[in-house]
Amino acid sequence: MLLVDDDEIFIMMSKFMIKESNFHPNPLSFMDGEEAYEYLKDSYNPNENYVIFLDINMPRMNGWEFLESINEFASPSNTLIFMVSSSTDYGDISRAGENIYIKKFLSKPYLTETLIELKNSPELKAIF
Amino acid sequence: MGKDTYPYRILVIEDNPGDFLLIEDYLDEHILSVQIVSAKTFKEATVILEQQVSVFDIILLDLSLPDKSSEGLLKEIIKISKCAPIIVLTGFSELDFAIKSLSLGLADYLVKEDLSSIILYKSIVYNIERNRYILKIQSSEKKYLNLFQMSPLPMWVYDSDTLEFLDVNQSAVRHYGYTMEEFLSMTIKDIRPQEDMTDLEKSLERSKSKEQDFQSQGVFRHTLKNGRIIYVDIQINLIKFNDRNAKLVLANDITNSIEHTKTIELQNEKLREISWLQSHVVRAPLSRIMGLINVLSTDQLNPEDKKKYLDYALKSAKELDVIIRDVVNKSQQIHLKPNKDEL
Repeated sequence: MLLVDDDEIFIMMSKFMIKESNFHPNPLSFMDGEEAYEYLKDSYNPNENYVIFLDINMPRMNGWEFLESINEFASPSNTLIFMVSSSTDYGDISRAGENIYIKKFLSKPYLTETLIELKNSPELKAIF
Repeated sequence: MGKDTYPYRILVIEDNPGDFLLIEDYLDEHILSVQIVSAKTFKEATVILEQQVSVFDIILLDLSLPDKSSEGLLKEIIKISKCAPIIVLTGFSELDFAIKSLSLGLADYLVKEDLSSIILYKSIVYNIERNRYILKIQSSEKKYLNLFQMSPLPMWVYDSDTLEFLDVNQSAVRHYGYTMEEFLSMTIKDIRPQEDMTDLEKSLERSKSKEQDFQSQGVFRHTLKNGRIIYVDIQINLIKFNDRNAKLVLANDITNSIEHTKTIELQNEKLREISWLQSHVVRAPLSRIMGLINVLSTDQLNPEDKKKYLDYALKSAKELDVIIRDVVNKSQQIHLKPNKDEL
C-alpha cells in the first residue's frame, strides 16, 4: 500500500487510521508523484496488488501526472487507486470518475470508519 | 365651365391703367370673387407688401414701373414677396430678360401681347399649386436636415471612393472635438488609430462586396481630437450625396458600456479565484483539523503524541485563518474598477 501526499500531517493521520482500522499493516509514504512513480516503476510486479491513496495537488508531479506516467507499465487490474483530496471541486471529482485506475474519490478527511467500509467493499474484498 | 370659387388674393403691380383693367377683366372671367390689390409704383407695392398682415396668393408684376424696373425691381419684389409666387407680365422687348429671370426665383412670365383670360388663369392656378409644393418640399428638406443635424448621436456622410467627409452633424463636432471645417478637410482614416488601419481597409473591402442598404458594421475604435480613443458601434447606410456615392454613418459611443462589461468580467474573474480558493485551499487545513480531531478523539494516543496532534491542529487553524483573510481581501477587490490598459 502506497500513500502519496505532500502533507506530512495528513500522512501521519492516515497511517494512524490505517493501523487502527487494520486496513494495512505497513503502508509506504511518498511526498510527491515522482517519488511514488520511481518506487512503483522499480518494484512493480504484475502478480502483486497495489492500493494507492493519491493526493491531487502536489509539487513536482501531481496526482494527474502520476496517473499518466504509470500508464506505461501498471495495469488497472492490480493497481487500485483512490484519489484523496480536500478539494470539493466538481471538475476534479468528475475527472476522477473517468480515469480507469481510479476506484473512488475520497474527500479529506476520511475517518477510520471510511477505511473499514472501504476494506469490505466489493472492489477491495477480492484482493484482501 | 363654372367660375373658380376660391377667394384668390392677388397683388397687381402695374402702372398702365389700360393693362390693369384688362388684367382685372381676365381675372373676373374665371374667378368668382377675386380680391385684387393694385399698386402703380414700386413704392406703393413696397408699402402694401410691408403693411399687409395676410399674404397674397400670387403677385402679377409689370417689369417697367416709373420708379424702378427690370432686374432691380424683380429682385426687390422677390425679397418682400413673403414667398408668394411672382408672374411677370412683359412685352416682347423684355422677353429675353424675363426668361433669364426665371433663375432669380420668378415663377412664370407671360407676354402681354399674347395674354388671354385662360392663359392668365391657368398660369395663376398652376403657379400657386407649384409654389405650395415647393414650400412643402423645402420644409420637409429642412425637417430631414434637422434629423441629421439635431441627431443626439454623431452622424456623418463620407465619400465611398475618396473617404472624405462630405457632411458632419453637430453632435459629431461636439463629440469628436473637430470643427466642421476640420472635418470637411479630413478623411475617415484620420479618426482611426494608426494601428487600426488594416482593420479599416478590411472592413471597407468587405462592405464593397455587399452593397446592400443598412449595414451594421460593428464596433470600431475612433480617435478624438484630444487623442482619446473611444469605442463606437457603427451603422451605415448608402446614399447619394451631391451625385457622389456616399455612406451615411451613425456612430454610437459605447466606451462606457464596454468599460462596464470589463468591470463585470473582472469581478467574475475574482469570484472564480475565490471559488477556487474555497474549493482547494480553504478545504486543505480544514480537512486536516477535522482528521486530527478524529484521531485525538480515539483516546489511543500517549500524552506525547496527543500534544503533537494538538499542535498540528492549532497550526492548521492558524493556516486557515490566513487563508480566510486572503479570501476577504479578494472579495473587497471585486469593487475595483478595471485599469485603462486592461480594456
